[in-house]
This record gives sequence, C-alpha cells and structure tokens, in this order.
Amino acid sequence: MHEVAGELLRRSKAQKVDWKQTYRDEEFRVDFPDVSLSISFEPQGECYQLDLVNDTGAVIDTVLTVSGETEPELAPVLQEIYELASAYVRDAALERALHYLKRA
Amino acid sequence: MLGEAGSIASLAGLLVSLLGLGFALLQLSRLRGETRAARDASEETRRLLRRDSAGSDLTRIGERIQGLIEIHRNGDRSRALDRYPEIYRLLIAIRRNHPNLSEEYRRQLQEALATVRDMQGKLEGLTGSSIPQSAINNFNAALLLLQTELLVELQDRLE
Repeated sequence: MHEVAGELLRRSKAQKVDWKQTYRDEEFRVDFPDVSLSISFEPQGECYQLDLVNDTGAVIDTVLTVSGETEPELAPVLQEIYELASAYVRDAALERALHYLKRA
Repeated sequence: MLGEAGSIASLAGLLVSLLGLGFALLQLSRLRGETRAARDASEETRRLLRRDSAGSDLTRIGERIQGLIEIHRNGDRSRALDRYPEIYRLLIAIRRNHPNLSEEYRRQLQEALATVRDMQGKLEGLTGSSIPQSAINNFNAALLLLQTELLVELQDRLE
C-alpha cells in the first residue's frame, strides 16, 4: 500500500486521477476496472485513511495515519493525496459551473 | 494372354482403389463440413444463451434499482440496507459472466458497485429509521444515472 500511496500521490499531482466525492463529506474515491481507492479524513482523530476496495466491494487493504504518529512517514503523503483529491473535485465542479454559465 | 489378363486386373484394381479413395475423400469433406456446421451452431447457441442471460441479468438489476429508488423515496432506511447486497451481487454477476467487457465498462461497473457501497456506508453511519432528504436526492440521482446510462449501454453492448 505504501507504493500505491506514492504512485497515487504522483498521479494526483499530475492531475491524472479522476477523483470523485463519495456520500461522506471527507472522502474521495477513484475507480479502476477491478479496484477502487478511497482516501478519507477523520477530523476528530486527525486520521487519514487510504482503502483498497476489490471487485466485490470489499476493503482488502488499508493504511491509516493517526495524528501523524501511526505510520509517520506516510502521514504527509496521505494528507497531500487528500488535499489534491479535494482540490480536484472542487476545481472540476467550478469548471463545470463556469462552462454552464458561459453557455447560458 | 495371362499377362494381359493380369494387366487388366491390375488396372481394374487401381480403378477400384482410386474410386475408394475418392469416395473416402468425399466423405471426409462432408464430415468436415458437418463438424464446422455443428461448431457454428454450438457457438451460436452459446452466444444466444449469453445474450439471454445478460438480458435477464440487466432486467433484474434494473428492476431492483427501481425498487431501491422507491424505498429511498419512502425514506425507509432499514429496507434500503436490506436491498444493497442484492444489487452488489447482480453487478458482480454481470462482470463475472462477461469477462470480455472492455476496461471502460468494467471501470463503470466498479464505479457503480463502489457507489452503492458508499450509499450503504452512509446509511449505516446514520441513526434513526429514516433517510435524510439530501441523501435521498443524491442517491436517487446516482441510481437514475446508472439506469439510464450504464445499463442501457450494457444492454446494447451485450446484445
């Protein structure tokens, strides 16, 4: 999962990951042909969590950082992925809004 | 005289052998044609069975999604939670029964599965027996999209 997190960060920085907001406010997800990855943030415990979901919808691997103490080397990676995912979703929505406004 | 008779007999024998060989080749050719026709018929039967199976899978999932939309509209959290696993199973079955689907269709099925899973996760995190109106709107918008886009495209693709 550490390697997945690193690659996800690189691809997210390059805007190559099509993040979507889930029904939870602090969670974003990207879907591939047989797996999904989701990044979430729990404000109360300051936890960032990256889940790998298989083709039956089951979570098969997880990495979790709590207040930068658990998995401390991974905490900034997950935090940056989360921030990039959040910015991607917000920017995509703004772009769509602008597109519709200019077309109207 | 005897040599002449022997030559005639040899020629006759050769003629019979050639006729036999020709007949055998003809039979072999017919057999090949029949085998090919049987193989084609078998492949066509399999294709029709796959199409019918896909059609019934898609019809079933379309009906279940419609049912879930109604359950959401009624705000029935408990019944909605009962319904999600069946929709998972049907989405998984479509992907497993059609391994030759393109990567994009498999991604869309994965997205549908993850979306339904998220709905379940959201409802499990709530308390009370009803579903908030904002969740109903979001859930049903996603389910309608699934019905009108992915299922329709798959129906065309699999038939």
